[in-house]
Amino acid sequence: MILVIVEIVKVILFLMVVLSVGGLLSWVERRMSGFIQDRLGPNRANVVLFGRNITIGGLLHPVADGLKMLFKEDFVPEGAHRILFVLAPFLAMLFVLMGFASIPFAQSLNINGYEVRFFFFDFDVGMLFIFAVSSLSIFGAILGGYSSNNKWALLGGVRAAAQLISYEVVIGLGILSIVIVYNSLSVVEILQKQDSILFGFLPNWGIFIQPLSFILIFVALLAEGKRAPFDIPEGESEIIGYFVEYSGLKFAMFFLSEFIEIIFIAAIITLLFLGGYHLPYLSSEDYINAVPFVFLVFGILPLSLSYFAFRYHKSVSFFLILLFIGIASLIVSITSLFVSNETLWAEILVRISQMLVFSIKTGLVTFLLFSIRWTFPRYRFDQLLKISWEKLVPISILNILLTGFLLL
Amino acid sequence: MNSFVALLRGLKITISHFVKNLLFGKKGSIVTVEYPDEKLKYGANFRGVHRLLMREDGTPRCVACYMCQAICPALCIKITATERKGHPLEKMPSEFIIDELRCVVCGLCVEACPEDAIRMDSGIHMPPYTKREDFVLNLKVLHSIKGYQERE
Repeated sequence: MILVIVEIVKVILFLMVVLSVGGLLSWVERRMSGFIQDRLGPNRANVVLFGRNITIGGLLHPVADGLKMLFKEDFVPEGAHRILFVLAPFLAMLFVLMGFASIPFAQSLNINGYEVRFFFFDFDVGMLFIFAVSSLSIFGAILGGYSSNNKWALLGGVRAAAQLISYEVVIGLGILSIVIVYNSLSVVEILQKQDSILFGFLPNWGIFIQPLSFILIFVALLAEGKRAPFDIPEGESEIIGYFVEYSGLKFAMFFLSEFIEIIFIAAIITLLFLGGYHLPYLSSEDYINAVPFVFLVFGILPLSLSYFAFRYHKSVSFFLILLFIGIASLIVSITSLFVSNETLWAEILVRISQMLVFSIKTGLVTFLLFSIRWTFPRYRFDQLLKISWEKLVPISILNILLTGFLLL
Repeated sequence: MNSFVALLRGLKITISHFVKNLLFGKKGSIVTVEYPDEKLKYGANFRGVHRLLMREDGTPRCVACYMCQAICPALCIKITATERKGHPLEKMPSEFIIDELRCVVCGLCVEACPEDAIRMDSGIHMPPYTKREDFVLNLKVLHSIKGYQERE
């Protein structure tokens, strides 16, 4: 009974975090594109509190967007396949969220004999599950394009399907090479095996042991997540994309699922290639020694950023938030010095810092994904397929042959 | 391989811009002007709303010579002349109407004026009124508009 409650609490907490972070990312991306293009980006949505305009540097824009979407007409075009049309955004959301089920955020924790795991399913074939779900996630786009009774939407859906088929091969072969190297299909086991030293000086992460397959999977996941420079199913400037006919909350779901998929992609890359929640040169038994350090870093970063927010952006609310985060984690860092090992609190602190490490790594990958979007122009459709079939697929086959050869 | 290096170089440029602007905001390389909160100053030769200048004794400088009305390509100036008190030879305008909606902001009236009575150095553009009549400025209004140097 307790286990069921724990699972439900886990799901609710997870959904709250992921959905709100997905919403925030929509703001982060716009603000970041602004900074990259020497603009300011959205920073004006405000709430008047105590006679002052509170903008939090524009953090209220996702809220404003959500409210706007909520009050829009929920429109179904004439001649559309009603069931599929309504189903498509839900499917897009569902499959993306499903993917997180087998991603471990931290080591499992023993509380009075109950084992609390920081993921939802323990598969022996977790890699296959991730692989399957990451390709299912494009179903929303295909169905949305197919059912809208709109030529542009259909084109977007067809492009999504073609793109999926081409890049699926690359992802499959890339994951295969990782599976060969770590000799396991279970995500947890792959993660545990990254917790050692390679050649005596490198952490045994996927990026060091399989650098080629890192680039291949990175590119292929970009394409499968419909991210620029592979965002031709959307193709904002040409066909608008598979969600032309969607409005209101259904469009919001497509929009949100895209940003959650970014988190998913970043999480997979972190998991397979960047060592998940592991810190380099530190085995998971010694993790407790690194906890003060992790919190110190997580405290100093916001504190230094808060200085810049106050001095150059003149955003008091942002300054206060960053100051709060920074001081709180500094306090945790200091108190964790006095928590003795082997106690429950020490274990919980370890789990929290593992989650922090995981989210910092995921955040860095997300940052890379965003800056790639605002750097490179979109590929043409034939170029996209050519890159996959003529370059990436042969390279990944070669990579697998090479890996097998070296392992033998 | 070469193209891959080029891609990385592109990434370096965008990320460096991002970091610079994230940390330093407007002290970085951001060029945005947040309009209602901050306004750019117009240059000294900006042609804004017309204004009429006064003599030191408080009478209009304008002598109602009709030069500006004659040269105006948009026919937006309309002057009514009257006698100037205490001056047997000079005239002065009893009414001076400029229709700012017709004005093409060419500045020829300023060039034509022999008395330096009309200028476009107010440093403001016409505010967006909702009624057409509001854009028709008369003598009193034109006299009350100040130049950009006085306003500072």
